Amino acid sequence: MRKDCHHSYLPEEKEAIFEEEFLPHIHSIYNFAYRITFNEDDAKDLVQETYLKAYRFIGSFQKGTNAKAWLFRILKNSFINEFRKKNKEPVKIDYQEVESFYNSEDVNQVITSDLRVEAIKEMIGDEVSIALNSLDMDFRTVIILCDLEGFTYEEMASILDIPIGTVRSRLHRARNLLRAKLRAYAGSMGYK
Amino acid sequence: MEEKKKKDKPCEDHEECIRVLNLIIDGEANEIEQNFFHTHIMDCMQCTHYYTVEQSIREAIKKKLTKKEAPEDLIQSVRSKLKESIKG
Repeated sequence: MRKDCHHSYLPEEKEAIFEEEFLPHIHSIYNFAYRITFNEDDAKDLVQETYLKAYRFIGSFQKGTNAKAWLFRILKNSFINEFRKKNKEPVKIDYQEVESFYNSEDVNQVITSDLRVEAIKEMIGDEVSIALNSLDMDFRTVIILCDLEGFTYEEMASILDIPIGTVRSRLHRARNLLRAKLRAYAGSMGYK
Repeated sequence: MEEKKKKDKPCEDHEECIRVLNLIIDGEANEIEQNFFHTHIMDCMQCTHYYTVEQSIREAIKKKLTKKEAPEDLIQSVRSKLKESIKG
């Protein structure tokens, strides 16, 4: 949370900001929380935590600015700092190997092998969801933020606390991985 | 005929094209990248195919993934906690 610009709001102003600028994003916030925790109760806890912190730090929010990105940033930090520790998420898989594969020369061959538009159109939501959920958390997150929530690269950089170049490269890798998953899935389901 | 031959040729720098294509679809490409897209990519069959598939993946994510709505009890609970905080 930046401390450089602090705003002193009156209680009724705080309530108005909360109602008019924060609460309208609760569905997106909940959806994101659910997509990173895969559990409704955990998602609810994370949303509660996010809104409590939003209120506690409301002084560092400039009225009328990008509340959605600000809330997503709080949510991301809550997840990393507290939630993940508490819940002892399974040891993070080492996707270094996967990444290096997708950065290697082989990737061109993989990418250009045929995934047909028709196959994607025939897929149902569950199939797309399974492919997305099978991606590592960091990769899944950038796709959700960009494609589902429509954040710009700059907003994503601020939400995730990473440089914009890292947003670009992470998205690039995430998309290669998702595409490969979908292609494998399409093949196994006989979409050809 | 000449035109068709050109389009069917394998792309010379497909990795770079993919990078630019993604920026185009995300609305994040700069002027140079946009020019590159218009002059090369739409004239290359391999890139056009990649572009079309990539767009439909984005569309599938937007349209086919169910957006979970926050349950009403959660919204109420967030609101009541806010009221408590304001009072306290």
